[in-house]
Amino acid sequence: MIRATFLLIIVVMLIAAARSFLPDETSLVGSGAALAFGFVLLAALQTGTIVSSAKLPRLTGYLLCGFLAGPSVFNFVTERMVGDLKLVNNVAIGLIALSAGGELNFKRMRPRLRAILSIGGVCILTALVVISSAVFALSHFLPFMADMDAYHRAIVSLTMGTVLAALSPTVTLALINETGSEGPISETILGVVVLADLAIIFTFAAVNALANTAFGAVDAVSIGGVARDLLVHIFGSLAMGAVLGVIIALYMKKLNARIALFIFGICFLSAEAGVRLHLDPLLMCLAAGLFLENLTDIQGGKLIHDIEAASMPVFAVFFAVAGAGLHWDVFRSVAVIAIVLSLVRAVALLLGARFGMAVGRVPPEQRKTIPYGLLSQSGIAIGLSILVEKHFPGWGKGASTCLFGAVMVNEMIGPVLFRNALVKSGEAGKKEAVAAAH
Amino acid sequence: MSVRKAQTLGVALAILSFASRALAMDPENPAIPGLPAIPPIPAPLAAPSPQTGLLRVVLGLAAAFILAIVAAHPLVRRVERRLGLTVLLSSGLPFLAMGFVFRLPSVGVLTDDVVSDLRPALEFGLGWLGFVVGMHFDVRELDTLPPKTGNVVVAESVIPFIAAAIACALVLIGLDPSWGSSGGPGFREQLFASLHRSSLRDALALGACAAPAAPVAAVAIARSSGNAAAALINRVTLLNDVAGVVVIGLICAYFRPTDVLSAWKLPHIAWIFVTLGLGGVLGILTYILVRAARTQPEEMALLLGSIALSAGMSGYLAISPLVTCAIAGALLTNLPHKGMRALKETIAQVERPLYLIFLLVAGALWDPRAWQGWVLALVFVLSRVGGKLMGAHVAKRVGPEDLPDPDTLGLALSAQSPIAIATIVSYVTIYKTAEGTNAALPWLMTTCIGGAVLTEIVVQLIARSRGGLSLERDMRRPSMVFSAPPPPVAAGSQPPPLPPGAPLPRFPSDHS
Repeated sequence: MIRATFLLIIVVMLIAAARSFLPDETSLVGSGAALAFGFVLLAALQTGTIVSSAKLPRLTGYLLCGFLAGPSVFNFVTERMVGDLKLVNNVAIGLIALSAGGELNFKRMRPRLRAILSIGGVCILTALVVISSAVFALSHFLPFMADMDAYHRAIVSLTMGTVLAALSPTVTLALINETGSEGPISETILGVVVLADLAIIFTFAAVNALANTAFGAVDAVSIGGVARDLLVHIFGSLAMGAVLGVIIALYMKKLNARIALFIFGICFLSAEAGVRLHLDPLLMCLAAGLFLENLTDIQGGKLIHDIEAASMPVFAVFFAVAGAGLHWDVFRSVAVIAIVLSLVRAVALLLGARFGMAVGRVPPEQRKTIPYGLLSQSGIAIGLSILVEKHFPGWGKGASTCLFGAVMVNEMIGPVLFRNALVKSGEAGKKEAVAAAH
Repeated sequence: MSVRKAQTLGVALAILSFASRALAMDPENPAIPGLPAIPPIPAPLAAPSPQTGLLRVVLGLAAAFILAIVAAHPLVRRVERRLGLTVLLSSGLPFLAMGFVFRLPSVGVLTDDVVSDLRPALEFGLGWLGFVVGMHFDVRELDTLPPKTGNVVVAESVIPFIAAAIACALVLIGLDPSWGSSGGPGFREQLFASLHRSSLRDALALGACAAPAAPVAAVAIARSSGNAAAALINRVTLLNDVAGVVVIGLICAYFRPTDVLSAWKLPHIAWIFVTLGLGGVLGILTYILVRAARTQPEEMALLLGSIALSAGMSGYLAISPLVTCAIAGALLTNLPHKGMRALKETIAQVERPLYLIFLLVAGALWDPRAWQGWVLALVFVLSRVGGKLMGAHVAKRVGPEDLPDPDTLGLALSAQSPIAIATIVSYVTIYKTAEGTNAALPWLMTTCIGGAVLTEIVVQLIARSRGGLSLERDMRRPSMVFSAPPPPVAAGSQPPPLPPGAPLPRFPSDHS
């Protein structure tokens, strides 16, 4: 910890010196991004080490580092530098999704499929109903809904409820990796968050179309049009993901050299191509991982092991950049509402998980841990909040501010609770133990 | 070559061919894109039409990616060694050309957005290459070199540097657009004004590119002149790389980019200390970081972070990332670390693909259409090869006895090192940011890249006509992007013989 603190101080001094060379508003495209990448990576890893000595997740350290170094606090990493790192972020999402897909073996999961579907379904439904109702109840205190009638308030509440019901596969996978967890609890949670987020993407598209018709929003299209676009988006992404899976499988069988670099390139391509072809890089890579794990003789575990070297920097930078994107000013203005919404969400998810576990006949020893794996939020919720702001200029800004605030709370608190739950469940560290036994 | 490998390569080439055909299919311009006839540099990129643009970007990036994978394959490396080619001519040139062609508005693959996304890879690539160059500078290995080797290094670095710098300075002054404008000051004033503007600096930069030499011919020398000579020449090429980097460091310190925004106002000499200090601090930081790493992924993450931070800081301060990272790499390699071999292997593993992607971006930033660049290239090649041959004659007189005859030595050291292109890209990137209007900057890239290709062709032809480069057989190990140091040799003793056909090892520790 002392060494990490010392190194963190040196790295901070170096970037402070470099940043003093040019005025705050000036940034260089190539150098700025390289500087930000190097700083964020080194500082996040050191902060992760410091934080882990306090028995907190490294991921929290990454987020905290990004938040402190970002535009909100010390501004070592400027808004523009954060934007320049979008490539790293896109690649990170691809790598994380590929790993998540590689972890999900349907054959192995079959005994838990009932539990996964029931927990996911009940949780999402409960969260949607409870959070939307809470937002509706609070609508008189929210300035952007003050002049709306009950129907429109209900639509806005449903939109916000959908965004807040989103879970976080990235945080889940990062924490499972970090703690070296392996076992039924980890697999169930990962399955639930991945499937629940797919459901959220569908639900949001439907709610978005409903809101479009209710508010006559920018780029308003018919529900049929939205459904068609959505089908193309989701099934196109899944199909492209399967193609990527074939390419990766061929590469690993025929060439089998520099796999980490190859996967990195595939993720870069899917990020660049996905954005341009209106496909979702996350879904593409998830489908590729699922394809490899379930339809080829290449095990996802081998793939994950091969890309382990690339995963650590990617996780660190991804979460640090997410932390840099958290705006303290924005949070302060909606702190009370954000905390209330986060509490409501937590209660809804815990209740939903309890019902879902009862329906899915989850063994009692797993019931204490699973709900805590559902509380974190990050990328998808932020992405949907941005869409709300973009699509609905009237109330979108106010709604997204509240959503960002709530996501910030969930992003900070969720991983801490999940890590503790994993450690208490006894699954943490099992992966290393199994590897050592072999 | 096994049938299966040939099939794999065939499939890859077919995909590439398909991709390149698809890229050439432009409904508005059915001809295969080539050099446009209109000389002026085009305005900012025209966006491709939405229908074809998306497909082009995706296919183009996929083609580049597949080519990088194919070019980094051991099979390609073996072919390179069999033909006695450097990485620049075999794999590098297609990437440079691809970067240039993809950037053309009529092709529109490397659009502004994509280049902007890839731009950090350029800085990062420069930093990585700098680390590789620095890590060759192992003092323990230098101590094992035969006496008087330093004389050879100096002769083969300084003479080509001076020859190329003087010749290019004269041509640059002659090509200065403001030269001879009516009503201006007299000849002497104009001469000094031109030198003062940027001609001297540009000429020095080209001189810095003249010093480094590629290692390819060293293997052939092992056959014709013995292992000791081959090992010695190989070491000389490594140190020539260092010499080029030192010169570019001095240029960046003395000729500061005229960035009025900068908050630091330091004298020139202070920038030398800033460069040295920054490289030193970053080297020590990297050392502490990688020593503390508990796992290989953690070591890789820390190494990536260190190199990115070093490259980013250097670029931010308008210092060449090559220089600071070379200092950091040299420091790192000379500090005690039991995992140094593994670390070097980690660095070497990503070296070639990274270099190729670096060349792709460099190609996208390169505009070879100005004729002045090609005139300079011709002068550069002649002066450089002349300088290398003169240097070889001097070296034979003042160097160790193991050296081959001057013609063989000069020829062996004539092929241009890949580090020369990295040097000029670094130079142009730094000064272009501050002096976007300097017309001579784009010429320099043409000079260096065109010069490298011309030199390679000339050297290959001469070497083959002299029978100095026999086609190699039975290559067991792939070649690397940069030259490899010789095995450690105790002073006064002969180096251990190389097995027939085996390339020289990349790092000294490979022998242990």
